[in-house]
Amino acid sequence: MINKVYFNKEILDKIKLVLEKEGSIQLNNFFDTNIKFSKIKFRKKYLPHSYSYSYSKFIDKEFINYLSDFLFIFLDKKLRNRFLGLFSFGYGDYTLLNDKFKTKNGYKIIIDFTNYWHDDFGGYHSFLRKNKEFLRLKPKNNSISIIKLDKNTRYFVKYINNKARKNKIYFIDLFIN
Amino acid sequence: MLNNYIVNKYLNTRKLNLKFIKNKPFSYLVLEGFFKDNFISDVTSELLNEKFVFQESDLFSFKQTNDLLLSKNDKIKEFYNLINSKEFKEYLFNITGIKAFGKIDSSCFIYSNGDYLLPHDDRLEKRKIAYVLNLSKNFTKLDCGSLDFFSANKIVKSIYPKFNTLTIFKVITGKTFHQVSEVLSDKKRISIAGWFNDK
Repeated sequence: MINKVYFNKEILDKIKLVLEKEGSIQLNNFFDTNIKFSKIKFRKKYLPHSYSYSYSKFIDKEFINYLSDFLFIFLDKKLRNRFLGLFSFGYGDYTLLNDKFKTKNGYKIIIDFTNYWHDDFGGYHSFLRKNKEFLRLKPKNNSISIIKLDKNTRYFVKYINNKARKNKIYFIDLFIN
Repeated sequence: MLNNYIVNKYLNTRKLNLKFIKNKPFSYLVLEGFFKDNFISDVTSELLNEKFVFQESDLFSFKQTNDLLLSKNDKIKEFYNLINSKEFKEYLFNITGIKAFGKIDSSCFIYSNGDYLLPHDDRLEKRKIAYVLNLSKNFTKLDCGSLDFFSANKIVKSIYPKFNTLTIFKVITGKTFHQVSEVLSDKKRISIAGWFNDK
């Protein structure tokens, strides 16, 4: 399921170095098989001054086990989730920064399944410290992004505008510490 | 002095006060054709010669000028001095019953296709009255860019851009949630907006 390249010790060591130095890394072609999302029912989550998106629990034991193995080898962290959060953002969706929401020390992991996207649509993930963006992640199909967070990190998904039409972004978002 | 700039029908503040208080989901007023035509047309023409800078964050995407206080243009100065005058602030007090005799914030905004201002409540202690003066012509509902008011997480009032329409509303932290909906066409939504602050 996960591209074997990412279990190669030499490559893993190099990736770890980049993560240590840069604080984030995006690995492309992460899965070597197509991940199927059959029978997924998204629920709309809407609180106007905070967020608008659709959410579903993603329960696939095999997927979670593979991911857990990878994260254990790569980060030396155990994934204890029995399900993952699968998010879908389309036209009009967004999240806003919230002073009340505090991040912890750890890693944010975004696994992206977006098929088609264009920069003009918005929908990127923005990470800030002291009100300055230090990382902007654009939707990228079949990628995993690992971002080191601390208590001063804040995060939002940029509003998706009408140019996106019916295109949507899909990603799994999880936190591990 | 005000009668040189504001159309006569809006100079009697008593009726306006009743309407302002009565409106829901929070106190607001929409004053169509507020300024005298020649004056506001001249201001609009001059504003478009100002420098606009693209701004974006989690909350918004639009082009904005510096605070109009800094403009060197005589017509814009005249406009700024008018809305910053004691007489105008007293006029607003008579309409709203809100003391907002401090400094004003005032910028010109251009929203192009895909630009927006997401829901927020203007939460800054000193902001008492928010205002939007629309300066775009020929906007229809389909072009959007409406100023929307929320109540219980739903849009309950939409004000569509119309030239020379002044909208004022009370600012209450945690209550007066509003947004500018996304502009959906290639028309430009032009406005002067800001706040009347407490001293």
